[in-house]
Amino acid sequence: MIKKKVLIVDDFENTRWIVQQILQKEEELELMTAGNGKEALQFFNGETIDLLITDLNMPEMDGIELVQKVRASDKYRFIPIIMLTTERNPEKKQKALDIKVTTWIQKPFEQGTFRKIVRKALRLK
Amino acid sequence: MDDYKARFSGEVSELLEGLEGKLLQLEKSPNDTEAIAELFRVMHTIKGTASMFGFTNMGKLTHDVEDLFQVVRSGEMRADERIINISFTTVDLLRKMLETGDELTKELTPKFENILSEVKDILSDESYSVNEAERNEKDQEIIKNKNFYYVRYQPDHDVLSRGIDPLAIFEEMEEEGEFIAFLDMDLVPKVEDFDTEKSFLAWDIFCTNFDDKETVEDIFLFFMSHEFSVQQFSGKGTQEIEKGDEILNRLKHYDISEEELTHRLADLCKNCGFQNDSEEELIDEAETETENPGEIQQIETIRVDAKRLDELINLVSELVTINGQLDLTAENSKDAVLQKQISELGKLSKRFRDNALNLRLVPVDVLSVKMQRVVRDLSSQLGKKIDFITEGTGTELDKSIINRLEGPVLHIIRNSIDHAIEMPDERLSQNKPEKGVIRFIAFYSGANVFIQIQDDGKGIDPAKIRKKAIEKGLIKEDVELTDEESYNLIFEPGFSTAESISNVSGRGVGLDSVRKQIADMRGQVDVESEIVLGTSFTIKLPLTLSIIDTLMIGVADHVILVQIEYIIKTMFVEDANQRRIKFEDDFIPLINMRLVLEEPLSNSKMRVLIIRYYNYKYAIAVDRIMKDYQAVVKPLGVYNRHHPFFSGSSVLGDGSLALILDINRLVKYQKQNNAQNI
Repeated sequence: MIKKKVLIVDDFENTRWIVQQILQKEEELELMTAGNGKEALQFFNGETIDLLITDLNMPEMDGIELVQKVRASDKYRFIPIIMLTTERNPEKKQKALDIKVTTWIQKPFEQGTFRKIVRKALRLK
Repeated sequence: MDDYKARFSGEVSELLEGLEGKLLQLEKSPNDTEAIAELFRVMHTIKGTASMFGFTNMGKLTHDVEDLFQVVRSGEMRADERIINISFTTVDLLRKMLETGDELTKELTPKFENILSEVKDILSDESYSVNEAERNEKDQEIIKNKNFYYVRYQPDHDVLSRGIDPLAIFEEMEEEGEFIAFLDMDLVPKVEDFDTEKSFLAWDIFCTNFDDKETVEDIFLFFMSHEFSVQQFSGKGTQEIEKGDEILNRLKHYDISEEELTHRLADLCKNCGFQNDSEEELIDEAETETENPGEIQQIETIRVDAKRLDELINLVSELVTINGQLDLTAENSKDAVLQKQISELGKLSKRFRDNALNLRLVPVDVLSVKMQRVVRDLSSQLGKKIDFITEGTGTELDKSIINRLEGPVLHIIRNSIDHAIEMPDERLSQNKPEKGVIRFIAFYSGANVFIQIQDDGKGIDPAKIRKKAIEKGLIKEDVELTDEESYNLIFEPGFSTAESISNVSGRGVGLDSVRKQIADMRGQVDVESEIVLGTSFTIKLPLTLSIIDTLMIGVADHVILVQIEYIIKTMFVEDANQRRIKFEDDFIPLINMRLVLEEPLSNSKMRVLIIRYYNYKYAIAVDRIMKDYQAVVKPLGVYNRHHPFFSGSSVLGDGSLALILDINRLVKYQKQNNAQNI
């Protein structure tokens, strides 16, 4: 089975760990993590990423800039992107939509919902 | 979107083929409930996908014909000749509409209208119990207590660049419940404003059998609230929906009236039960067939682009070649460990290659439906009665061979129906059964597949053929021919035994083209016949076009491969510059390869290969006979594709190139040259 490569980007190690724990049970997935946008971009140069899960606010390079950079590349124009955010401010949410994320998940999130969204984004049955 | 259309076309063509097969089955046994259920299911699937992809006309057509099978399925009507015929016409029309992209051309419109009106005729026929009003009532009864959802789904133009496939929701809808979707193209701009990275499509969707409204909404999880709306309504009708009138208005756009909607919603409800039935059946089957009742069978086939397979086989062939070179290097190195490892690698890569070649194999069964259809249509057109029997249809052949085999096989079958099988009364007067039999038999033998097409018709009269051939100037009057040689004359260009050209098999293409097409696949076709008893055509084909057994020969500096099965003997000749040499009791033409390759002639003794090609024997003079060689065939490039006597090349173990001699072409080349010389 060819596994789907999922890149998880968050500056909190704790969040990365939690997300990994939740998704580890999904055996179709291969998980990778990065601490900020800059680190994340390194991955995009190497292998083929199938799904990007990123935090919004991060040091060095934030989620918005990361998504814009990823979407600007030919290869990843249409990649599904899930944004994790604690943001409740609707304006910021609109901003996320404007930069064309596939969907966003409000932290804290429920495990089942999270898994469902990831599978849906990857079109796994 | 074009990608989706191509996928849609591909899927529907496959479905249509299956449909045709089931129709033929149903024609034989009109009470075959399994076939009826399958027909209904296929019509239903085509209908659903067609309207989803905006193929409205196809949707309408399949919908009406599906109605017909709905009634047949419920047992209220029998699948009589009229229904079967209209179904065949529908299949043909659907194929045409796939080509035109749903457009009803001038040619297609009358056919389309005819089918619709005939379906209506049949359904309103007094003798069939259900009439329009009753049906309406019935349908309303069905939908009365059901829950439906209406979804307006209009993704933003930028949906693709958000990483969302707007069509993905339909896959999920299919899993969760039953739905009908109508594609709304109103937002699609003019061509000049069209942007392929944007989506301009919208859908009106009606669905049922979902757990609750939330389940429906969940499907649209990635969409924003303005992109979709879900409204619940019961069987009382769309008036319960906010702006219900507007929706009905929009439906008129798709040519759907309120009554029609009722029918379609009722259909959905019927399908709910239907689908559950079939799922249970599936599980039942799984339980009886396997030891693990819990496991439902996985998909067993996948569709792969043929180009990708070719690429794979090409790469694997190259791997085997390089392995051969490696073998030589290892032998020279005298390193025993290395030699052993490389020989292991060699075995593996050969197995790898065989496996890769197997990927291209398909059962000849894929031709069955087309053949049966030809027999059916032609025999009824000619008023003949024919049973068509297939045997060994599980025999597998390379996909490219199967594709190229279709023409010749259908040609032979058409010939048998037209010329060989007699009219029923004629058969009876000869104490033959009224019904003629045509058999299609496929089997393996060695590295070959044989295909036989036998009929119990009147047989071929060798004397008649001989007479005809003399008339046509194909043979001289004093030539003596065995019966076998006479039969083979029918493959000669310019030969046709039919006293009058019929519009069935006399299409200006004779059996010579059949022979040519089969020879192009490195195959052979022979015919045997007995007067009154019948005729049998035997087609011999290689298992694959990619690997052949050859004899490696040398002429001057050239290395040439000759397909081994044509060679019947090798010998020496003192003088290779004569036109004919004696072989057994005959003088047969001698082809000096030095002459053909424009190399200086030599006066010394040369080796000779005796080649048998149908009735002809040829001697080919060469300098050296080197060894047996299993060659991986590569086609010649574009510029050399029509070379007069080479048809392929192969890379040898040492990396050098050898050309493959095409006996069929060489014989033709020789004949032409001789003709010029005379």
